[in-house]
Amino acid sequence: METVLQIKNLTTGYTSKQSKAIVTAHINAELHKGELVCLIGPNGAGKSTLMRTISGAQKPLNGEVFLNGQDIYSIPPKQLAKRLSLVLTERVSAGMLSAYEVIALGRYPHTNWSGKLSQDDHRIIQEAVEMAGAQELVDRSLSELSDGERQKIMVARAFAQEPEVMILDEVTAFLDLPRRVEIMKLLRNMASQSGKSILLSTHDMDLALRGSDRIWLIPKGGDLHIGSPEDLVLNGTFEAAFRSEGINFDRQSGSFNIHTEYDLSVSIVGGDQESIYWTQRAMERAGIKVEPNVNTRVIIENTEDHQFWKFVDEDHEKSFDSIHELVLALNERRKAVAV
Amino acid sequence: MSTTAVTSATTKPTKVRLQSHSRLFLFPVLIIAVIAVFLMELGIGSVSIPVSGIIDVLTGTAADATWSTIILELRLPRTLAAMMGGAALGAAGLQLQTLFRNPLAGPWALGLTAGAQLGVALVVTAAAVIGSSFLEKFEFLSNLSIVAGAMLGCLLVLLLMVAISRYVSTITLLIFGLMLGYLAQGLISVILHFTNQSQGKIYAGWNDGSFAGVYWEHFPVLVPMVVLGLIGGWLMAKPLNAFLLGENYARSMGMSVKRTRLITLGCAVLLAGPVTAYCGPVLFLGLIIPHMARGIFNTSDHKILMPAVMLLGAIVAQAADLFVHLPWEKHFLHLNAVNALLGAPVVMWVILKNKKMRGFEF
Repeated sequence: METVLQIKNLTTGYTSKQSKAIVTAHINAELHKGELVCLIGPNGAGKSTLMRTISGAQKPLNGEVFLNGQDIYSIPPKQLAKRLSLVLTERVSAGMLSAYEVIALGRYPHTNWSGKLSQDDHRIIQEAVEMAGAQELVDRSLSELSDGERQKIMVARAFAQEPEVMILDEVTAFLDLPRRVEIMKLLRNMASQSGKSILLSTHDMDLALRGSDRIWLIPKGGDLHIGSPEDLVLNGTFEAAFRSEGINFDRQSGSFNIHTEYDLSVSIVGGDQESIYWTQRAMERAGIKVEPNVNTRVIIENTEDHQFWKFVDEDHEKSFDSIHELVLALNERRKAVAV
Repeated sequence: MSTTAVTSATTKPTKVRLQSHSRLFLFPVLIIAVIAVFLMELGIGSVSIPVSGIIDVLTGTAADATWSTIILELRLPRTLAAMMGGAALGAAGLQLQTLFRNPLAGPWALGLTAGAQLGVALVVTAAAVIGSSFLEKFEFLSNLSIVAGAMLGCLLVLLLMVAISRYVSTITLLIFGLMLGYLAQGLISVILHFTNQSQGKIYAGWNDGSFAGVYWEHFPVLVPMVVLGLIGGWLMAKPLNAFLLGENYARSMGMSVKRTRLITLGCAVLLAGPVTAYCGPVLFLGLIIPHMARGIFNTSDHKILMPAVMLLGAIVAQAADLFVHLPWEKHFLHLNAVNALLGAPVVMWVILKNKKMRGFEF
């Protein structure tokens, strides 16, 4: 596997006249060709500082970053821009520039002083447009576009820069779920189809777990963990990293539990896979533990035209037409038991 | 269905498009307009001179000595000053608006003009106090020290504004610039107390702002500086385009933010300083001309806007000057009054149109 970006014993942080403030220490990692890596971790773990340092925008306190073997801090800015591009969280406003003109700015490090675009430049821009699926957007002014469309254009611009590595810092932070999924899909395509190496820092655990080839997990004050999402889940790294934050990561579902203490257990009986899954989600949300072979049961039954839920325990039996009603009744019951 | 969609997508040839700005044909129109207003400036006045007469004078074949004197001694320097002043202020305004990411920036709004005024007032007063004999009426304008004073004032204010712009919002910066202007005015009137009446009058005349105070002997200083500033502005079109995306993005694309800022500010001082030194404070033009250019060409691309503001600036400044010098029965119009009538509504429109300016957008 071809290593594009190599981070060696990197310590990030800030220096002032009096002191050094270390944010993350002794980081070692590699980014391979054509790989999409998500950097995740709780707020304050130093993701942004690490991203800035890796992208060469900030000097490290110690250690080195190599871009295809060359020390990144020794590459002049214009040369570096040809090899590494950035997308940031900030919402850009670009006056009256059209989306096409913004993507064309990706050619900035490649063009001469006048910024004149050659036929070749236009072809590369067009490729970026098509890669991003932004054909419909290019003629519109950037100021008319939604936040999601703008970020898509900014990603296309970073792609048009023809870098070896793309670094994206929390670019989906302000977007809604469909837009986040869209950007993630776009980045996956860019990595797999054109061999770009992409490093994306994100808060979106779910998308990171589903979309990245590998994850760099950086816990607060801890060491960087690297692995495929599934490996990190199975070996408990995920759980351990977030437990210190007071959050429970459930290995089975690959998501976070809101409740951690249960005062009631039920078994779920019957139903198809989907119904079972969502009924279980509802139980967990209500703080009810789902276990096999408990006397208290939720039975999912189907008649010809509708589904209903039956709650059964030693002395009760009642049917509900929706999960909502079931949860309400269970909550009532728990209150009564508590009294 | 889906297969046809896929094939059509893959077989579609990569569309290569050339940058096409549908409004580029406006450049010849603007150039013609510059020439038209130029001829009107030379021809219209208390003595009316036909175009054929103007051409005769300019080619040195005129029979009428009066016409020659009127054009060559009075109207031509004034018109050329308006042309250069307008182009210079427009270009400076565009550079400052992009650099400060502020649609209402301009040499006047940012207090550069006030800085230049203060510089000139200091030089005039210093000369009066020292009592140098060469300060005959209007003669002082040809003195390089006035230009130096104006440019130094410009530069100091600009540096102050750059420092402050890091800590305050768009609107706050403008209010700060305007207050700086009032502060300069206050200081100026205190300073002028120490000068004699005739010096004060000269200052007051200069302070009205007019292209009519520029004479041939000023051009050897004015022209090189303005031309240098305009060329610099044109050369900076590419980095200024990158600047539209903000400092962080510009830097990530390999632009040297420090160098761009330094050169652009240097150009702004080269443009606004000498023009203010010779023409006095000319208000509003630097602010409104970039907006007119954006509106007309429907773009923010500096490669188009730079030449556009130069041409538009030349047109608007000449037209305003022409309006002032129309053969009115009484001469009471000032250049800055015309500029204000033209400029203030534009500023109001920009504020109302711009969400960020209204303060609704975070």
